[in-house]
Amino acid sequence: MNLWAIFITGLTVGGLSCMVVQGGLLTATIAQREQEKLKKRTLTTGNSLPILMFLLAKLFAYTILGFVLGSLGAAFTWSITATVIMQLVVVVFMVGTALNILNVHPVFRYFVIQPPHFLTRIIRKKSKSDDFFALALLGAFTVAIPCGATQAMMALAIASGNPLMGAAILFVFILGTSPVFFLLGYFTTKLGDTLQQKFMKFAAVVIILLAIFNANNTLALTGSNFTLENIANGFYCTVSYCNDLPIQTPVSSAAITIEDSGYLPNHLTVKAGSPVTIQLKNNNGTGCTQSFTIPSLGVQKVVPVGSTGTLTFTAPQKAGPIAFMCSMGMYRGTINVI
Amino acid sequence: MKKVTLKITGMDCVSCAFNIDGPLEDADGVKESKTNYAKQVTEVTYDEASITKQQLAAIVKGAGYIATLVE
Repeated sequence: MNLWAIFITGLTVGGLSCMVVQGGLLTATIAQREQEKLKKRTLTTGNSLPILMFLLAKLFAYTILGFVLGSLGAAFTWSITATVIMQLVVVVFMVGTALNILNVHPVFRYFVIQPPHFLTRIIRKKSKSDDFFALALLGAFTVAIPCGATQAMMALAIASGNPLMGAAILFVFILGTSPVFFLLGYFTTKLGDTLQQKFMKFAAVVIILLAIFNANNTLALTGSNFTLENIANGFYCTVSYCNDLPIQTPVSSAAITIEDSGYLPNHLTVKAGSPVTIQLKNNNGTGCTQSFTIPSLGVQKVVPVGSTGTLTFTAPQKAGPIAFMCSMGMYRGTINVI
Repeated sequence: MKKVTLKITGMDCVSCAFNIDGPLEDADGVKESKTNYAKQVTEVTYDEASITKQQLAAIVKGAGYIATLVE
């Protein structure tokens, strides 16, 4: 996943899902501030400056967080199982958040992280004495209230295994979420309740879709062949006609380059039970593509951008396709064992 | 100081807790107000001499939510 893709994710899904969790606090603080101003009859200017303060502080706090997470990723090598568990937690959390917005059952209220009382108290007290400071503080504290998409990006920052890359991932992502926050904050008093309700419902649906996408990636990461694409493809091939996998001569060594769009080539054929060597060259694959993973064999090779690496493994005795992918299951390919 | 639990209706986001605790803690005689979004209740610690339970419920109503006293 390149930084542009992360920015777009922030701009769309991130902005919506994070606003659901964190935006309320911003609007509540701003609404309160407006009230104070209305009382004092000083409401003459727009409220863009405090929102910018909020967003700047948020951006700053998350960039630091990204740096810390990247360092953490560099210090530990995350096992495939740990990544699967982490991603599943994210999926459950996202679905819970969405179902809560849709008011499905009161139990989903427990999926929403409520900031500790003392924190809201500090912010409220500050908002009376010093607007800017309170909003900046609130922005920085949103780190403690992560939303579904942010959690996924935090996982990505860890997976990058590089402090600067981790910082860049969260910086770009939060920058992407900013326009939605700005608009919401700016029009907070003008945006009607009904419109806001509709907006929330839309956000909930988007979050669920993102969760399904995430769950599918996680499923792929467990080495399962029952991903949505494979099922859809199988269905299509049953009702229509499909070419079988391209017939290739089995190889004992192959070269795969890592691009920001995935792995090239993303298909190779090997002989059952034979030793296989894969030369990996990372041209410009950032994020999870740097970790070349074959879940069913439990092998993983981390190849940072601009470097090369060699992965050797023994092909399984059983013929059939096995999947390879990045550490988050997003970019995939197949190894056909014959 | 006395403690009372108010059952809140109409709270559909975490920030609503913020909207309820704010005005309550601003009122004279209220020491602390803690709203739990998940449980949909507000626990108020207050001084009986300066404010009544009914007044507390009225403040919540003013914030746009319905409060019912839990005995």
